[in-house]
Amino acid sequence: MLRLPPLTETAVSIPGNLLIARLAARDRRHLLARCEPVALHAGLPPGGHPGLLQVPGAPAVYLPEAGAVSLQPGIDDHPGAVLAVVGREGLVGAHWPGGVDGLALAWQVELPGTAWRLPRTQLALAMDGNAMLRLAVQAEQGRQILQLARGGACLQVHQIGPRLARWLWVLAEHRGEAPMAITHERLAAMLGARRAGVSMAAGELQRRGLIHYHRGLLRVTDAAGLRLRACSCLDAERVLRPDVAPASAGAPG
Amino acid sequence: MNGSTPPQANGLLAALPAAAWARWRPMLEHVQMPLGQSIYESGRTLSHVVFPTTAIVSLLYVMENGASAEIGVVGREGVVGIALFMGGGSTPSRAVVQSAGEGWRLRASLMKQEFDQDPDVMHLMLRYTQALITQMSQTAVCNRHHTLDQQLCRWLLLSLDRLRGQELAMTQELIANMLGVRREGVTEAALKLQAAGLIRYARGRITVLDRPGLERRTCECYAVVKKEYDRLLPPLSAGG
Repeated sequence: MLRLPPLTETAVSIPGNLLIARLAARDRRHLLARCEPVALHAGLPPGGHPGLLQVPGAPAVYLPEAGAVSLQPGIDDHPGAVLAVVGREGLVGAHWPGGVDGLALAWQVELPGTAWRLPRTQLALAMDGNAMLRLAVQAEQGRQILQLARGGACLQVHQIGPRLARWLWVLAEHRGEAPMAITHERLAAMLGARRAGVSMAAGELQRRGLIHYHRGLLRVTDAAGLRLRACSCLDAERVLRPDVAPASAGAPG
Repeated sequence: MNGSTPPQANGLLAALPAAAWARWRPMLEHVQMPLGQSIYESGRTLSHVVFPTTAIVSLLYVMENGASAEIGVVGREGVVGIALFMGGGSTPSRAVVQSAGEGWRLRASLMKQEFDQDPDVMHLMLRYTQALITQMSQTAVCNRHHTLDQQLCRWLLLSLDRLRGQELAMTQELIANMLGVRREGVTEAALKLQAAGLIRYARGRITVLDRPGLERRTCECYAVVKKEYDRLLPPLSAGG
């Protein structure tokens, strides 16, 4: 995969989209002038329109500032399972801005937040004139393809408990300390599993004191312990993130 | 090259613009692809990309502990080695020939150079990559949600689309590996399809008797993938 130089700690500590943070101040202003801010609503596609499946060729890309968006292929118009999660480190909807239609896959907001929306044609233009932006978008595409490939294998190879621990850890990292409003139905959809199986797996994590789940609000109480329960995909994908320095990737978070 | 399938039997090579074709033609090497041959191994640097003409290649993702799962198939519509376009020379997956045949290969360094310098080539390869992504994604969720006989139908149809005949030389062991299930499960699913008159299964060979029947029996996933390949890729010549 294409690797960009790691972001500095200072760059990561400033709120905002990390792909935009890579740009020189002037280029950043130039790009943001073409963007509009949008809210990401949980359970909806980033565009905010009800209905799960994003229309192929949808005209916009989204650069999240906060929140998390998942990529999930549909089964009978319902989410099939999450294969990848993207937050402020990346962008969504921009597969091949070189003119090819959008991906026939659904993006869905898992954690509410905000994002910059940019027409795909504008992104393509900006990439033509800016080598750093082009590299960053290409690196992000490469990362998402690896996530998808691994996500598919994970569904076949890993048990529900470790998969649940992995995604909860990832969501908690995007969310920070605040509890997440998330139902067992949504967790089941994320994992491509039955509700009963997810409830059992969540109960097990709670008994071990790793999470606290009450009235639809979920809080991670022991992030390091949760990480130890997670499947190997958590760490394997963490090292691909542009905001995680390779040396610290293996340390408990 | 007597007796070998021409490069244009591969849909991507056939769709190259004339200028690119003129540059590529002397660089392409014909390769035999026997059953079970490994095209590349996880963690290794890609030396070549391979454009199958009659072979089918299975892409397997390999986890750290050695467990693997099939994430997609590539035949005469595509190319093995897309990791190269993603900027990386090495890959987390294995590629293994699942149906013997032939293909043409190109050195990875040349492919990379062409991808970076010719927008037509880049565009064609990215369209293929996008189609493959859809296949990988849909396969992944299909394995979670649909019955094994639906999955077997999907897998047979995807393989058939990449072959010229109606017969697949497949052991149940191989199919079980590809679908990530136990061999007994595949036997049971194959017997169901045989009882329904859709396939004949004898001595390790599956012959498809009723393709429309398979299409009716399979889940939506086959159609989702097929539609995306049809939308994004140049049409394949009927004779291959």
